[in-house]
Amino acid sequence: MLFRPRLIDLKIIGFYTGKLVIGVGFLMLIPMVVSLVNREWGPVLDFLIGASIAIAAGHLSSIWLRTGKEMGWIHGIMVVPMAWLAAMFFGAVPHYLGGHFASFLDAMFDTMSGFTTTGLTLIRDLDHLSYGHNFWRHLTIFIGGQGIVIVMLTLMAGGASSVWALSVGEAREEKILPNLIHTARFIRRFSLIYFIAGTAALWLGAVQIGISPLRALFHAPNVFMAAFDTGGFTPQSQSIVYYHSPLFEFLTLPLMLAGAINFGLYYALFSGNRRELFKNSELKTMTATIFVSFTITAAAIAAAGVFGDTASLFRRGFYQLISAYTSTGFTTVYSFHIPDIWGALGLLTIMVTMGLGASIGSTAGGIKAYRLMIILKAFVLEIRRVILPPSAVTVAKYHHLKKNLLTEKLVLGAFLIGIAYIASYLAGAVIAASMGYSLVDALFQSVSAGGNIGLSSRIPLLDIPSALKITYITQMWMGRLEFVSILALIGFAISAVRGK
Amino acid sequence: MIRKVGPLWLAVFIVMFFVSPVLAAVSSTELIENPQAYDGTSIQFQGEAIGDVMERGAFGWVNLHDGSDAIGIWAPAAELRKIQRAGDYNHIGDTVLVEGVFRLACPEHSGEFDIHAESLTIVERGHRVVRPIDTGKVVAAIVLVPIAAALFFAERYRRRHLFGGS
Repeated sequence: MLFRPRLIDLKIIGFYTGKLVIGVGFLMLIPMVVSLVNREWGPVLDFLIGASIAIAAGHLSSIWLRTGKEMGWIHGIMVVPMAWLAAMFFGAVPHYLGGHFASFLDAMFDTMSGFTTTGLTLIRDLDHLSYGHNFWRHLTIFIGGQGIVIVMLTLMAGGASSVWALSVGEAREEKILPNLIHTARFIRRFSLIYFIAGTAALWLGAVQIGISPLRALFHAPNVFMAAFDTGGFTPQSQSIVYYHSPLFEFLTLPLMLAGAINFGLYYALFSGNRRELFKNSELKTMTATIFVSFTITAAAIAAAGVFGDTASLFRRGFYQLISAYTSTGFTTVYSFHIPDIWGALGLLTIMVTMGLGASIGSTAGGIKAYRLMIILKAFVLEIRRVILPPSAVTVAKYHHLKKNLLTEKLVLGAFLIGIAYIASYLAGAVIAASMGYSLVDALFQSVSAGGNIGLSSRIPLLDIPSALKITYITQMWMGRLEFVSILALIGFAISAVRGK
Repeated sequence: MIRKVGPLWLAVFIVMFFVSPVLAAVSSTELIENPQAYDGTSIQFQGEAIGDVMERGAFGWVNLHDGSDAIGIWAPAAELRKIQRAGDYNHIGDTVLVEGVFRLACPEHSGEFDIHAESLTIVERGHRVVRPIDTGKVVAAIVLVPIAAALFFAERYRRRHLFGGS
């Protein structure tokens, strides 16, 4: 029997969603300062208006919906998808006012793409965008990569008991430290250290390749945020091609990989547990996936006969593969290159790599290496069960921060989420194909959106129908939250209508 | 006389007929959609210089945007110095016409999709963009900022005085 949610449940969800909207409003003041420094008066107004609307709306909802009741488990799960939609809506206001989007829907598409660290974009004339607006695009990636809801509510609440539910909803349930508030703080401090070091390295790199020191200050933090949080936006329209530099590619490559590795692994390393680096089953799966997929990609590119030397193979093939696997979406080739030049095998490998994704507990998208490892181990275990006598006891173990036993619950969870991702990829492809796009292009774009990757196929995104934009927004949203909280929200909505 | 000059004109006409299509300005869309057709040939490409002019020793890079896409141009530094303004939020960059060899996967630059410019001409100088402040936005800000501030401070006051918290 379905239980109809009470009014107080809706109020609690609305109250905390309002809190998050206030946070988004205050974050808009950062790009406003960037615009102020650069004397971009129009964008200053855009951010002032956007921030005011978000702060006012957030406060009004928290005044109107105040209950005095604590947030429970189910509320925590519901708040996350609602908060992400609200963040998309309010975050899009300054984008839309900036005049570089054809519609508010396009602006929302970009905001969702940023928050979900996808990197697909519908912006027009990016090369003449203000510094402030460009910074906001990249900041949405950084905020989204850290997990907006967790960051905001741990900052505001300082220690809510239901933060656990929020982290489950946001697919960030892995506890690095026993206390989730401490975990969130560790991630923030760790990201800050990376931010300073990564931005400094990119600034030096940008100056080295002929960009003026002042302009390098604009490129470096933006590229860092997009690389480390595997987002894929870039300050200029040509992605990483713009820099024409092996040095810049060399600097962004480890940042993409660093962002796609489980934060728990970093904590283990910082705590002196260096053996984890060699024992971790997920990391082994990632390494094997990269090795196998690069071998296939290299063979495909060699067969196509486009690149004549090893340097080309690494700067185009390997970089593109790592960008796809880490779900960053940076590109050192034009978007037509993969489908048109690399051939069917190259295209298929990049597509599969995008769909698989890197590490859980990181900013990467896709199914994730951890789940792939669980599923593969379950297959091996099943084969062993068939081969060995019925009396034999068969178990499978894996190493992830500690020795773990493969349980049926784990296998089921990995399978279900894996199937949900594949269903999302196929559904997006069918919708795009039904609108007249080729099945290959439709599937590539769908995997890119659903896996939060950001690479583009031959589908001209600026010209796609609104229905397809909404499809991709939904896919990005579902993929980033890994389906559970959104499916729970759908169940909640059904209960509200049909429950007793 | 006419008999002597006639063959000369004919030769010039034939050369122009065969050479001019190759050197006619090609769009970025054409290069991206049909790169094999132009790979290794001399072409003309025209677009706005955007972002940064990146000098690297005796040569350097600039990206030219023709309204659809941008293409990287590798040119001698002396030629690049002709560009005075690259496009950004406050500026429309110089419009530049380059003549050079297009490569789908440049062997000199590890597979870059680029044009090696042999000559670079400034077709039109860039300029500063005047962006008047939108009165509607000013009014909206004047109305909205006090509302947001009032709600924010009212909430802070309520929390401090009713709960004694921060």
